[in-house]
Amino acid sequence: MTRYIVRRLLATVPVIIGITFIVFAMVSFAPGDPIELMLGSETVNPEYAERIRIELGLDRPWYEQYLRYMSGLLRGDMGRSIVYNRPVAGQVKERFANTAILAVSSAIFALLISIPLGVLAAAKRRTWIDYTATTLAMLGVSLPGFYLGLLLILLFGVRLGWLPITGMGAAGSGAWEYIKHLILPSITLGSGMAAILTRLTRSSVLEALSQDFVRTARAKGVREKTVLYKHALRNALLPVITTFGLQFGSLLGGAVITETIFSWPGIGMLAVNAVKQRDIPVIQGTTLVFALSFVLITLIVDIVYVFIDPRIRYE
Amino acid sequence: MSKERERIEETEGTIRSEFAHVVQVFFRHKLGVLGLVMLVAFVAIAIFAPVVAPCDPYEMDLANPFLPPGSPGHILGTDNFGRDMLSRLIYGSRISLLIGIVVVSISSVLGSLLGMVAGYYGGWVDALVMRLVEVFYSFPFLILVIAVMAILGPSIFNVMWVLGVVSWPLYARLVRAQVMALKSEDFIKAASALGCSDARIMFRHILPNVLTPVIVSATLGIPSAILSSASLGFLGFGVQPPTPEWGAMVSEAKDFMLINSNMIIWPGLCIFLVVLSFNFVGDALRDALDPRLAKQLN
Repeated sequence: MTRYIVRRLLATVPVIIGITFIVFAMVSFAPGDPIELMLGSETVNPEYAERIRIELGLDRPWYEQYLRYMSGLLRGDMGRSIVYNRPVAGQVKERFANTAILAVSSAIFALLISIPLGVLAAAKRRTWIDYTATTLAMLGVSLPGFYLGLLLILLFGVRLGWLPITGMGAAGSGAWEYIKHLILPSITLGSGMAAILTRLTRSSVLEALSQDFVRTARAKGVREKTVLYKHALRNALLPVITTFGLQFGSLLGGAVITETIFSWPGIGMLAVNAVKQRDIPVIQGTTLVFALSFVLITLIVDIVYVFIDPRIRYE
Repeated sequence: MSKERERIEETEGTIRSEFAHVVQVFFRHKLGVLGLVMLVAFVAIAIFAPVVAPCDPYEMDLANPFLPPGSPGHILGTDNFGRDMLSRLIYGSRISLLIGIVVVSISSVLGSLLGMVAGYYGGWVDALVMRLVEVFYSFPFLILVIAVMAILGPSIFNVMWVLGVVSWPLYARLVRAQVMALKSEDFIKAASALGCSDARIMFRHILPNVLTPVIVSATLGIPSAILSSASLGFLGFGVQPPTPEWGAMVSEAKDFMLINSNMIIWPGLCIFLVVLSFNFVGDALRDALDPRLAKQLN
């Protein structure tokens, strides 16, 4: 098992190098002059442009720039924001926890909805429960996240006035106030994942129920409930866990939209503002942090997998 | 001679009945049929937009903003500039459908080619392509798209090719796995022994056999491309106003949300319905074309 984990860890090294290279290359190999891109195409003071060019090392050949970029990253230096003239790393650090909390609470929402619903739909196959669950899942997959978010704001924020619709609440206003601010963004962000995982849980439980070991268990006279939860669900959860890890990528992408709608001060909002202001170092920094977080999540999922599915150790 | 003809007719018969079977399974899928009907309607509306639309989608009437649905001359009301909502939605269908189809064409062709080459040649070619797939997969999709769009600048042309180029790995992985399985089949070995060139083997012998999963994935890829482009439009990084792109329309509407919710409801609903209809069709198509998978699920 240790060997598997070590191998899995080593496999992420080229991926991380690839990610940093793409993030780096976005600017260096982009068409046009990066300085012009950052400062706008209006005529800027050429002296100022030249100073920034040298400051950012853009006058050096690309491999030298990349090495410089990498050695900066290893020291925790992601460059400076052009608009705010402060380190990108500091800006990302301030906001990282907010995005992490939003992402985790959305994922928990998705799991709490999808697994029970998927199991129920499979167990009560071809009944109204199954049809309702699969229809809901289909609607959830097709609903754009930003549309759902705005509809929730219109309904619960504006019409009913039950829940706050922007920000995280004033500091020190208590945990309940904080949770209230988290509810609508989490539903918005988590519903897509909930829909996908519901469909998957359902089909995967159905598949498990048709396997020989379930027939054996039933033949032994094991109670149907035990068959469902102990025999079928445990095996059915394996693909669900894999997809959960993969779907975390869409969750992080969705965080950009959700944070924008609800003015949630996370790295997604930071990224959107950076794009609007053409603040290239911040765009690079946020993209990198999102990608690395995703790599970390898939890594954790893969390692957790080994503990749940002992068969993988022998491969 | 007659025996030969008989044989040909026989194979044609099986081909026809296979096709008939696929159609039959597809049409048994009620939601698939519903999706198909909706899609045909959307496509017809998109094609005949100038005929169907009651007004010019760009024509402003600043004296009549925010008219409610049911106003004379404006069935779905008007937006903040007094432009006819329905006409804008109708023209918007052209943009979404076009983006969806172009994006999937780019990504499926590019991905299939790379996947085929990787699976067929193996070795370092395969290793290179697969590392590239892994790196692309390790970016949250929308984040990568936003970052690239930020560098290239927002336009409908950039939306199409950025989304297309960024979503190739799905098809590459799919095709590569199929090609690797096919490579050891006898008919491929036979073709190779007969002296067929690599290109001929890949395009004449392998390609037709890997097309089915590609078609299914492409059908399901169109709605996700439409969703992504709408998200970009919503964030302001995609198709720009005043072009009536649905996502950009929702984004414009957001600013007036508290005084007028009408402007948000309709374009969002259109995105939802188009995506839903493609998903219905894609699901039914998968059941029809991939009986093994369908059997597992039903």
